Amino acid sequence: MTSRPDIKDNRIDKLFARCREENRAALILFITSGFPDLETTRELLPVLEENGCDLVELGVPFSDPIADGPVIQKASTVALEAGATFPKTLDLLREFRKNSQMPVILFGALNPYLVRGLEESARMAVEAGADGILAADLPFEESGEFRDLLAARNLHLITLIAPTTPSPRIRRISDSSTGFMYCISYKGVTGKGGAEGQLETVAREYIGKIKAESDLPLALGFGIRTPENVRQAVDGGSDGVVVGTALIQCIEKAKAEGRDVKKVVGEYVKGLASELSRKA
Amino acid sequence: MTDAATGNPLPDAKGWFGEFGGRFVPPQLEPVLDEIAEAFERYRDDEDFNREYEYYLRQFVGRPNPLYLCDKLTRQQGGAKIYLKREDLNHTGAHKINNTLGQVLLAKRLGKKRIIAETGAGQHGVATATACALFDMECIIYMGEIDTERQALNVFRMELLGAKVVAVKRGTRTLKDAVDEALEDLITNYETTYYMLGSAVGPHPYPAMVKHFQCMIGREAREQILAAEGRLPDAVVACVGGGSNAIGLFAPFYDDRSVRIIGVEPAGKGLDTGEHAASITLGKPGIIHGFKCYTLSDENGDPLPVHSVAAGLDYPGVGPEHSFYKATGRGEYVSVTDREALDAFVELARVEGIIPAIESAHAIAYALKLAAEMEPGQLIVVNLSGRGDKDVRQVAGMVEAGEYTLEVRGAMA
Repeated sequence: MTSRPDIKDNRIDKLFARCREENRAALILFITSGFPDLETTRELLPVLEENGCDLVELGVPFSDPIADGPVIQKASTVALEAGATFPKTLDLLREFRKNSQMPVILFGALNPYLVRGLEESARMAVEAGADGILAADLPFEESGEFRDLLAARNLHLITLIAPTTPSPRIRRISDSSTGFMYCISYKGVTGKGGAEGQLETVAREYIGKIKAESDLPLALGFGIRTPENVRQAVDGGSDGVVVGTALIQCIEKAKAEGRDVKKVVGEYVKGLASELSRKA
Repeated sequence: MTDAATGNPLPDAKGWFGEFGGRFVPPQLEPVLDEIAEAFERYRDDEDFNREYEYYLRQFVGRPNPLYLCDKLTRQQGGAKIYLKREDLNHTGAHKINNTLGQVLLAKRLGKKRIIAETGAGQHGVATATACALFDMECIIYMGEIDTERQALNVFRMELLGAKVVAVKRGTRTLKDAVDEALEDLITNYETTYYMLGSAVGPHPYPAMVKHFQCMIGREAREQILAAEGRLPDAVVACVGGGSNAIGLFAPFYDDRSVRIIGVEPAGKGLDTGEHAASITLGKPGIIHGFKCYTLSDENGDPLPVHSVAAGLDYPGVGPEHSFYKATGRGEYVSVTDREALDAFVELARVEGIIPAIESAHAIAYALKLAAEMEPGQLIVVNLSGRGDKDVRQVAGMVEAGEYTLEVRGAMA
C-alpha cells in the first residue's frame, strides 16, 4: 500500500504518460539559473524545449551545496554573483511559463526554502509555474511537511535514490513519492567519471533493482554526457535521462569561444533527444 | 534515553536535539553516516574500546590535566574564584586530540585504513595527523590553498607526522572548499575511508559523537572542583565556534541546574559591524553543512561571510546542542570582540604566565568580566581549550602593523 499524496493535473505526470504512449524516454536537462547570467538562462529555456527537452531542472544557486561537483558548484558561484536568487529564478520561470507547458522543477538545496518558510516557498513556486521541487539535501525521513505543503498545491517533491540505497528503503521512499524518482547512477558527486562503456549494464541492473520496488517513472542521472550515453540509459530501462554537468560545460565552452550559445546548445540538445526511442 | 557518561539527554535516533541537528545530506551520504552511527552506538560503552581509549588519553595525551586556580587573577578581579581547565597541557596543545583519538579508534574497528579530514587553521589537521601516525593510518588533510599559505608551519607539521596535505584550489580556496573536496572524497571512497570531523557540528552522528569524545573535560573538571572546593561551580565558561570544547565542558554539568552554562561567541570587530561570527547571538535557525542550527545567512539562505581574530571560531553555524541549550534557556550565550580577546590573551600571559589560544582567550575575557561582578567565594570554571603558541606570530604581526598595541605594564611608573 502506498501513502502517496493525491496530485492532480500536474505536467510531470502528463509528460511520463505521453512518453509511455510514444514508447520513449523523457529528456531531462539541468540548467543553473543565472549561469553565466540571468539573460542567458532566459534565452536558453525555450531553446531547450524547441530541441527536444521534455523537463527542465532549474537549479536555484546555493553557495554551499553538498555533493555538487566542481562544474555545477562553479556555475552556482557565477550565478550568485550575477544576482540569481530564488525570487529571480521564479521570475525567469514565470516569464517562460507564459509561452510554454514544459514541466519545470526547481532543483537545489533546502535552506533557501527553509529561511523563507516552507509554506511561503511552496506558494511562491506554484505561483511562478513550477511543477515540483527537488531539494538534494532533504532526506526522505524529514520530507513529510514539505511534501504535504507541495502536494496541497499539486506540486511534486521529487526524491533521490542512490546506488547505495537498500531495497527496503527504496520501497519505502517510492511508496510516498510522486512524479518520478531521480536515480543517481554512480557513487560520487555530479560531473565526475561515470560508468562510460558499461553504462547500459549498470543502468539495466540498477534500474531493474529499483523497478522491483517501485512503479514510478525512473530518471537516471550522473555521468550522462553524450547521445551514446542517452542511448545506453534508455536501453538499460530508464524512463527519463538527466544531463546536467555536460550541458553547463557546453554553455561555458560556447561562451568562452565566442560562439552563438543558443545555436550550440540547441544542436547539443537535439543530439541527446535523438536517442530517446525505445527499441520495439 | 540519557547518556551514562554525562547524565544529560542524547539526541533522538535521528540526531535531533529538540528542533536542532538532524541530518540533511544527499542520499549518497546516508549509508556512510549510518555505518558510522552504528559503530559509534556499538562501541561507545564497549569495555575494550574504552580501556584502549583511556589508556591513550592517559599515556599519550597526559590526562587528566589540572584544574588550575588562578590565584592572582582572582585577587586582581576581586570577585569569584577563577579556575582554568588546562586542555592546553594536552599533547599537541589543545582539546582537539581527545576527539581525534576516539574517532581513529572507531575507524580502526570499522576496518578503515584511510582517514580524511578538513582543516582551516590547521589545528584539527594536526590532531588528526597525530592520531593517524600513532595508529598507522593513511592520512589525507584537505586545506584551502589560501589557508595553506597562511598556516605554512601547520602544513609542515602535518607532513612531518606523515599526512598528505591537499591544497584545495577551487572556489574561495578556504575551509568551506576544503569541506567540499573532503566530502567528495568520502562519497567516492567511503568503503575504505573514514571522515574525521573536528567539531561538534555536521550531520548526525557527528555532533553526538564529538561530544562523547570531549566530555571527559567536564567530567574531570566536575570531580576536580568537588575535590578542591567541596561543591559545584557557580558558572562554567567556554568559547564557542563549532563548540566542541564547550560542549565537552558543559554536558556533564547539564543536570546541575545551579551551574550557569555560558558560551562565549566571537563578536569580531563588533556585533554591529557585520564582521563577526556570533551565530547564536545574531543568527536564525537554518541548515548549514548537513544539520540544523543557528546560522548566519542572507535572505536566500546562503551562509554569510564571517570574521574572527580566532580562526578556530570563524564559522557561520554552531553545534546543534548549543542551539538547543540556547533555545531552551539552559545555556547563556554571550560574545566578546577581537580586541577584548586580545587583551585577555595578554592579561593571562602576564598575570598567570599562561599564553592561551586566541580562541580560548574569548572565554577568559568574559570570565574576567563575570568574576568581577560575582561575589568572592563564588566559583567559575573556564575551559582553557588550547595553548597560544600557534597565535604568537599572528599577534606579533598585528602589533607590528599597528592593529593592536601592547601596553608595557609598569614602564610608566
